[in-house]
Amino acid sequence: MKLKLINIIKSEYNSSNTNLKIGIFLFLIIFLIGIFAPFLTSYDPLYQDYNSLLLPPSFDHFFGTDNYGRDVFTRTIYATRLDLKIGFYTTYIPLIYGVMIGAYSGYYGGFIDTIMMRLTDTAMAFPFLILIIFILSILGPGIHNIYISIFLVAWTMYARLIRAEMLVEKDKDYIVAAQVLGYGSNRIIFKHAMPNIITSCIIFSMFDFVLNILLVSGLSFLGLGVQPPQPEWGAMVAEGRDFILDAWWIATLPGMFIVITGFALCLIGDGLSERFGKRNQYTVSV
Amino acid sequence: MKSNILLQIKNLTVEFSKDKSLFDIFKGNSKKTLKAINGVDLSLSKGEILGLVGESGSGKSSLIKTIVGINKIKDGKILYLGKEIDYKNRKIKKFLSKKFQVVFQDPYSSLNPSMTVFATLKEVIKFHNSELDYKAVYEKMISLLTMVGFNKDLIYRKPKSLSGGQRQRIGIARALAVEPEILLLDEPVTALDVSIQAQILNLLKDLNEKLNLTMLFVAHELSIIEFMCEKVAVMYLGEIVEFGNKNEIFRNPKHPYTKKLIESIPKLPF
Amino acid sequence: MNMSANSKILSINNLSVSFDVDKNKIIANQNISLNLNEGEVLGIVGESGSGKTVLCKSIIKLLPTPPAKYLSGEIMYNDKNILTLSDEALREIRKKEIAMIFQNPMSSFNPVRTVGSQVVENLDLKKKFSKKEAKFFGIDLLNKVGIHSPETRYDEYPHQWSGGMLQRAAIAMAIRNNPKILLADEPTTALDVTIQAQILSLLLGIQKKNNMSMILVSHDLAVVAETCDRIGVMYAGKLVEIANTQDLFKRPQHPYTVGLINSIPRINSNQKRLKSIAGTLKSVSSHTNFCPFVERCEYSNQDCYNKNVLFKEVQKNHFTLCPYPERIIFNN
Repeated sequence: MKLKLINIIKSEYNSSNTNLKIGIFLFLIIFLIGIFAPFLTSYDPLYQDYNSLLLPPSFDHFFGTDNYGRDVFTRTIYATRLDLKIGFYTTYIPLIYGVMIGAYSGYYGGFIDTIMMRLTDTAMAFPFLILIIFILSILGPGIHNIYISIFLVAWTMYARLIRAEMLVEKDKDYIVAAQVLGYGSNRIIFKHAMPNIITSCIIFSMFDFVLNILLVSGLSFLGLGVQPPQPEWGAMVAEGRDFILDAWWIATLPGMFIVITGFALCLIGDGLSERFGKRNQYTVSV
Repeated sequence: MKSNILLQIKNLTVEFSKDKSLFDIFKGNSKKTLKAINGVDLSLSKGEILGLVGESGSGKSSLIKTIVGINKIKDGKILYLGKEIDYKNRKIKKFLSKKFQVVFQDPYSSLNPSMTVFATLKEVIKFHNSELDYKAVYEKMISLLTMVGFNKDLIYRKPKSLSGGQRQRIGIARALAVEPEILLLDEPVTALDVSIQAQILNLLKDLNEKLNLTMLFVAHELSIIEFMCEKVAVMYLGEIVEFGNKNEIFRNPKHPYTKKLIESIPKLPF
Repeated sequence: MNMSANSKILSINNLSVSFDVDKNKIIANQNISLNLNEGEVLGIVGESGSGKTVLCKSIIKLLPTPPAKYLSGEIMYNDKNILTLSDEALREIRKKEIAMIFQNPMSSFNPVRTVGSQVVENLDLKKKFSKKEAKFFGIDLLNKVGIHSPETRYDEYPHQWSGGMLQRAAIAMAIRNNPKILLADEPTTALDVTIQAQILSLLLGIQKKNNMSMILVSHDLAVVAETCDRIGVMYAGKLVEIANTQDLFKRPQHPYTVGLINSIPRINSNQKRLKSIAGTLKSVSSHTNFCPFVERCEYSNQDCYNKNVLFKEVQKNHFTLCPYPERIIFNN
């Protein structure tokens, strides 16, 4: 299973798609930085050295230190782990059940479809951010509550995407053939139809990943997300705000990581949509 | 010759209704229904190739979909070996899939684009013969491919790398893998080039003779129907307007639509 | 049908067209030479990958370049090469001289505008006429192509019209400026057989009345047999045979033509099997000097690979690419 994923990434990488290549390359760098964080730095992200307050970037401290004497570089790369984890969970967990809801909805139609769609409408009726903040105001701040509130709301986009594709796909001959062959509905939906309709969701998830990281960073910035002293990109930008003129490195350099990650993911999303778009191209009749 | 009637369709009526929109409810409009099939009688004997000819909107494709249980029956019944088929029974799916199989018109959409030939056929064979081991499945697959004239070196290809004729052969192989009693063919060669059409038509005739496979052959081209079938039914707007032996139909058409159809066929100058 | 040897109105000389697809170069048309005579109906018949649609579109330079490329040759109309005309001159030709209708009538029309408005759009006369007068002209035009109650139909949208009716409207659009040449690319393939017959007779009627020259591209040999004076057969990007209709079917001079004719089931002939062509269809691909049918041909031998084949005239007006047509056995 893991081998397949690596093969997929390899084959995507080898395709002649520059956007995809650059995007994957950049993202891998960030990813590896996160994984190998302890090996890249000898400092502890929480250690406060009162003798080294607000030092600018130097050989000892690549990104300088903050107002508590903590090494900003260390905090940034440890924050990478948290932010990537957050992005992954908030994107792919809602994707899974959102896709399932949308797939059943589109395939069966009728009563099930109506119920599912009214649920979607309810969830989408409120502006996303307002809803999140509302839920957080009830549950209290903190990363786990952020997860809960996002899980409650973020699935709707995927449900809609898949439902729309499924409505078209289920009338195609190969699906009818599968029904005639006697296959059960679950098999038809997930083994037969899904591989052909999931691509738009995958592409969307790339952008969703970025947006979710920004969302959490934004919430942390507002004080509703990750609580100090845990390093998280958005929280670090928030903390560095007061020092932006004197110690620009505290907010800016973690901010750069957000930008690079977002940029990499957007490139991957673009590259994938080119790639998948090509696959669906119809041949020109000669 | 004692005819062994496999399938009987009696007074079949199938309707498609358009759901009422809010506007219709407001205006008090009744539900619009379209009779796709209107009182059709037909019977199919073992080993025969029955031709069903009609243009678009005649209901010929709907008939196939009704036989396999996709469309709902409004009125009338369909009997297999004398017993009425109860389409409402949930268990009927397995029964239907073993008795009737379909070959579709469009070779480009009738195969799953993300599955290789190997995967598609393996799934069918394994699903209907769960006791077979890998080797037996593979052997059955090879014998099917040989029967339909498909090069086994190409089994790891996906449909997009195959030609129309090759895809249609796989469609036929997939249907045959189930070992059905009746093969329902919905315009199987319409989307193929003429020289490939000839190959597939020859293949179907071979299969009919070798396996004594009963076929319902639906098409809109009379010349193809005349080549393939002995008996022909002409369908127009959901009804069978003429039925008989092919020679009679072609030399002595009685219904005006049949006459019009025959006149419209462009003919080669022989 | 007009059989006399009239003057040439269109002359295609040694046309070669390639396509760049995924770093591959595909030669869609290779050294095609043929003439269209005034007032004649010329049929181009071939299966998928034969290059017939590319040929048809090339005549009015309709192919997007890239990925298409006009490698060589010229298309002479009125002593001018269409392939080298300025955009302005090309537009004039497409407007007034050479018109085209396509296979899928649904996609020839803009779905969000009424059919009527599209039929009279950009009419040369529109500058002088008001909207009402243009509508009058449009209704008359629709009447000419056999649309019933054109006054009410005029303001309907394409989805309210059937395929056959839309094709009639497309024909109306094509002939409204009385073009000298009409190119029809598989105009009836997407239509039912009874509608096909009506559309073909409509086209022939217009052709005869206006003494219009027509090129009819189709994959259906019977359709071209019934409607055309001369027929050209294409395979894998090359023109393999061209002859008067009667001659083509009486004495085909290329094995591919023979194979095509044999592949079609004949009514009232009690055939047990069709004599099909072995192997798979060869699509357009790379450049070859020899006959493209050689791998599937039952009469071919080593010689065929060595021959630099040229189109040669074996009988009057009957050309073939086959170097040894005398080998062909054809039973009518």
